[in-house]
Amino acid sequence: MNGQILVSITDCRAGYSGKTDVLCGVSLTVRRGERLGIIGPNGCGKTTLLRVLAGILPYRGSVRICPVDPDYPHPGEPVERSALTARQAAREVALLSQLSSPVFPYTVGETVLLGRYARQGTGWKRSSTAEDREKVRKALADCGLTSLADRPITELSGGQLQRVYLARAFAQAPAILLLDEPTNHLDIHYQLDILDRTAAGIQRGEPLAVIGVFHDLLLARRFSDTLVLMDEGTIADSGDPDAVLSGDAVNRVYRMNVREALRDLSQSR
Amino acid sequence: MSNRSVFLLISAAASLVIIIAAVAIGSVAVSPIETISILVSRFTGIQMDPEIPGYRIAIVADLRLPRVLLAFIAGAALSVSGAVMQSVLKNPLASSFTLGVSSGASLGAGSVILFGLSGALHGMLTVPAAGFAASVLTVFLLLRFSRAIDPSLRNNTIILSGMILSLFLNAILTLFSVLSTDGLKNILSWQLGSFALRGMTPVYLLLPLTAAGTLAIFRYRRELDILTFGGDEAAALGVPVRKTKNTLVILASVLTGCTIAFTGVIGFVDLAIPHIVRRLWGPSHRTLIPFSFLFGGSFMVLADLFCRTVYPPAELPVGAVTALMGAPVFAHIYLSSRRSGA
Repeated sequence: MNGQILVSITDCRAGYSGKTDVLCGVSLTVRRGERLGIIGPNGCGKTTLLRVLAGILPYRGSVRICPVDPDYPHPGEPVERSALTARQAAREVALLSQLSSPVFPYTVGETVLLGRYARQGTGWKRSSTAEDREKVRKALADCGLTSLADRPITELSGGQLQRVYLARAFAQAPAILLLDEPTNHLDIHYQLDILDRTAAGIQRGEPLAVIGVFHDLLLARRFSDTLVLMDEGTIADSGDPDAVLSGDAVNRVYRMNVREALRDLSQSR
Repeated sequence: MSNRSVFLLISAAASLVIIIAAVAIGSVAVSPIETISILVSRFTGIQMDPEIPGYRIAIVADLRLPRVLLAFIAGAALSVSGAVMQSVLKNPLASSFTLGVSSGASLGAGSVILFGLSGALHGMLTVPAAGFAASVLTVFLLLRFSRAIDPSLRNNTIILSGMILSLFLNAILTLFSVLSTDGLKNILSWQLGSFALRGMTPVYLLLPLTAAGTLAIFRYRRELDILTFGGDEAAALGVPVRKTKNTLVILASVLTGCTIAFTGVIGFVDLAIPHIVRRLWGPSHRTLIPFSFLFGGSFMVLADLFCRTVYPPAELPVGAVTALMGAPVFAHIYLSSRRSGA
């Protein structure tokens, strides 16, 4: 099953309310088992692309995803992202955003259970099933949160909190997991912790593919098996991470010798 | 979970006791047994003890019962409405009042009082009807205005638009009231809020409305939980965000609008009660909504009881008393959220 195309984007354009497009014709595909990293300078459109995939922004062009949820009317047949309801889309695509602080003190367990929302009944008949509880238990265990299940999320450290949101995304059981700079505001231990737990998820086939936006080029290289370099709303380069980071395009886009800069940063003085 | 159900039952029973006690207590004391027998006979038609003098029946059944029930319904509706506004707008300090709903209602009711329209039409229902219509109009205006400047309808946009609208409507009412000196006193007494001498009509109108509104909101309990994490997250978790947000803001505004149309402006309950309930049982709306209903109702009955018994025969305005008690809670929420944010 590896290699099946899960997402195919063709000439996608998008922007924010009436202003000029931030995304100016992006095409790419994501296959089962893939870890796609997107890099690029501030304002290059990488987060906009992720917001289109998450269904937060409207777009023009084509963004087709291949539904794998067995309850979907035609699983396996590619469908336009905008044709899915919020509920159907949430069974296929989950989002882990930059760390944000919660307003109200939900417990860790309650927060992770919210990931099951799109798979529970609507209206009155919506109590949690045994399957929901099992998925939550497993997501908590996979993220090392079992002992924290009853703690209020307002009392957690940033790293622990991001683990909770990752567990919620796992509980959502999506085919595709979107990462929007998930390691921002985290210390190096938790940066690697979050990425390693995500990578372990891919190994288990939960989720089937990851699309991640990164500012940190070293983390992007470590995590991704394919790297996409964006600049001014288009794709400037893509392919093997090492090849992209030592190519000419990356130097032009960041206006510096990226390879040398990364080497300098990692060398001991 | 069963723990919460037990507490819910206890709270419901306590609310009933508070209602009956509040009906019994007052300048003319009526014993609890007498109160209950009057109430039972009123609701079931069963013959009561013929020894009970008529004036006591009138005090209990015609004066105090409507007042206490109206206080309970108003407190419940305002608290549930506040809980919804705070969750939808992701802000523990938000309420229908900060969004201008009460200013809209004041302007609507105030205009009717000032321009003397109430006598021309159906007497006692004109002022509430104008207040309600104006508050609903305010919400639609607010949503239109917010969407025009920010199509994604971010929470800060809604809150700031609400404040602008609120100031603007208050200014109009002030200008209007300068035109008429008689009206000024009537408006002031309406704005202070009261449950006295309203009869059973408001109760019959508000009770089904509040019950239906609260049930409709309870149906959205999980969406409310999710919305507290922000619109983008909610969309990614499968909530149709714009539709859900609109529905909930309108439901909450209708609850507040209807209530203050009958009672006048009663502030801070919608802020303080949900805050206290979250402290006791956590933020989950499965508990927040029903407990806010019961606590808000009971609190308002007690506040009104305080207002009419502390300094007889004078009565304190209940809106002023809730504000007096609520303002410190407001300060507490603000300061503690600042501390945790730092």
